Amino acid sequence: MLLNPRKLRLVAGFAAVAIPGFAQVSMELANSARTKISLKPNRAVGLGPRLVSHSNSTGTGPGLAFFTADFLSLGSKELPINIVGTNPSLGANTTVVPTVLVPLKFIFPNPGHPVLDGTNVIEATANSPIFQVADYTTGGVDLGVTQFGDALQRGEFWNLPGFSTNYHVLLGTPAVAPTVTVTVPAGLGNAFPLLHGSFFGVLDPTFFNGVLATLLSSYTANELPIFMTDNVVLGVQGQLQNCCAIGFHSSTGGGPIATAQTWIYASFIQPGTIVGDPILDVQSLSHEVAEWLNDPFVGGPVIGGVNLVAPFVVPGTGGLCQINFETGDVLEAPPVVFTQVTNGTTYHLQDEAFLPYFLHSAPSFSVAGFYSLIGTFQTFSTLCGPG
Amino acid sequence: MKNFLVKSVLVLTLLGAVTFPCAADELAACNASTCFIPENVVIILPFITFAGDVIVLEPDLSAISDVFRIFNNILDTGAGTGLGDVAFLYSADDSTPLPDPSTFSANFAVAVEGADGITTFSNSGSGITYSLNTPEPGSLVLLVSCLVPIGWRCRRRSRRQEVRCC
Repeated sequence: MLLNPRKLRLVAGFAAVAIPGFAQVSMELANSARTKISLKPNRAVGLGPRLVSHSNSTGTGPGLAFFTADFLSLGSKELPINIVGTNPSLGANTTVVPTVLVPLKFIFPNPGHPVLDGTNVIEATANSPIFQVADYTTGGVDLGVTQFGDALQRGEFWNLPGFSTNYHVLLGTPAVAPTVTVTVPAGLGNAFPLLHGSFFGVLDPTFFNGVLATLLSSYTANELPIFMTDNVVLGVQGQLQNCCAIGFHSSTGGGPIATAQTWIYASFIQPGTIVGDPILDVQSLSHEVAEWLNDPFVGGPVIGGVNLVAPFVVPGTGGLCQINFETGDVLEAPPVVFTQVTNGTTYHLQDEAFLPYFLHSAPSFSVAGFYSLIGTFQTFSTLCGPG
Repeated sequence: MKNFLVKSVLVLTLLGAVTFPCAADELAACNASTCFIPENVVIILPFITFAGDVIVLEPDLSAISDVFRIFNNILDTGAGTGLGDVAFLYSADDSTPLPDPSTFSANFAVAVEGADGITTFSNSGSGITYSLNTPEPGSLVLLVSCLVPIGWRCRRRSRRQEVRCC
C-alpha cells in the first residue's frame, strides 16, 4: 500500500508531524546559484486580468500567499480552512507562488554504489502539467487551459458565490536549485535492481527528513521548494517491505502560519518500476501539489494550522480514518488516474477530492456539482463511525 | 508532549461548554483493544477518538434501549462529529433519560442489544472494541416477576411450617 507520511490518521490521539533530527549524511552543493531551466514553449495561458487584492497574493510577501475562511460543515458548523491563493468568494485574482525544483541525487551503499539522480527528472517535471498548461473539462464544463493545480482550485470553487472565472492559483515558472548529492549510509537506504536494468531506491524516512531539514533554510516562506527524486521512495530502514511513501508535503511548526515554510517531496516514478504501473511520472507530485494547495500548513499547529474536518473513512484502506482536508489520500487506494499531454508528452495525474467532499456540502459548490476533479466522487465522504 | 499540551488546554477550555449528564466521572476500563463501558456514568476515555452515537436497539428491534455517546469535546466539526474523550452510556431503564433523537450525532451507528446484556461494537478506524454493559430490562422484569410469586409461596408455606423451598 502506498502511504504518505504526513497524513493525520488518528489511531489513538493526534499523530505528530515533525522533522526528525539530522542523520549523518555527506552532501555536496555543486553551485550556490539557482538557475532557470529552459522550458519548451508555453501555450498561451487563458488567464484573465491580473488583479491583486492584497500584498501576499502574488507570493512576494514574507509568507505563503494563502487565505483563511470559514466554510460551513455539518450542522452549519463553521470550520476555518487555510488554502493557498486568495479567497475565491472575493472574485477575480491571480496568485503566483514562486517555485523551486530541488533535484536530489542519492548514492546508495549497495554493491556498485548505484546512483539515482533527481536531476534527470527535472526537465520532465518542469514540462509536465504541474507547470505547463492543458485544457481541463469536468462534467461538460471547461475549466480553462491552465496548470493542474489551478484547474483543481477553479473546479473546487466554480459554483461558490462570488467566484470569478478569472480566479487563478498558479505555480511560478520553476527555478532549479543545484543538485544535492547525498551518500546514503548503510542501513538507511537501499537500491533495488529492476528488470529493465534501472534501480528503485528506498530511503529511511527519518534519514530523508534529516536531509530536508538541512536544506530548508535555503528557501523563504513565500516560495515552494519541491524536492524531486528519481524513483526514490521512503520506507523504514530503507527496506522494501516497509515501502512506500512516494511523496509528502509539510510545513514548519511552532510559529505563526503567516510565516511558516511549506515544501513538497515527490518521487518521479519511472515506467516498469511498480507492477502494473499504477503510479507514473508526476502522479505523486500532482497528489502533493493538490494537497499542499488545500492544506498547506499540515506540519503546523493542529488548531489553526491543519485543516481539520469531520473524521472520514479513507476509501480502499479497510476502514482507516483521517481528520484533515487532504485531497489526494481518498483517491489513492487504488490511485484514480487521468492523463494530460503537455509539450507532446503524456503525463499521469491523480484525481483529487474537492472541499465539499469533506464538508458534506449538498449540493456541492464545485464544478458540475462534483466532489472530485474528474468526477470520481459524486457524493461526500463517509464519516468515520463513532468510537 | 506538544500534542498532550494541546489536548489538555482544549479539554479544559471545552469541557465547560459541553453539557454532560450529572453523574460521577469514571475512567473507562480499557485494555489495548477493548473498553468496558458501564451505564449512567460519565466516562473519561484514556484516548481521543471519533465522536458520535451508537444507538442500541432492543433485541426485538422494537425500541431504542440505550445510546452510547462519545462527545466531541476535543474537536467539534459539527452535528456531533469530531473528536473527544468523554462518553456516556444512556439507558432507557435508568434514571438518566435517553437523549432526544434530534440531538443524535450525524455520525451514528446502530447496534442490537446482546441477549446477555452486553452489546459490543467496534470501529476499524480506531481499532477499539467497545463492550457496553446494557442489561436487558425485559430480563430483569422477567426475573422479578418469577421471584415474587416464588417468594410469596415460600412465605405462605413457611407459615405452614413447610420449609423445603428457598
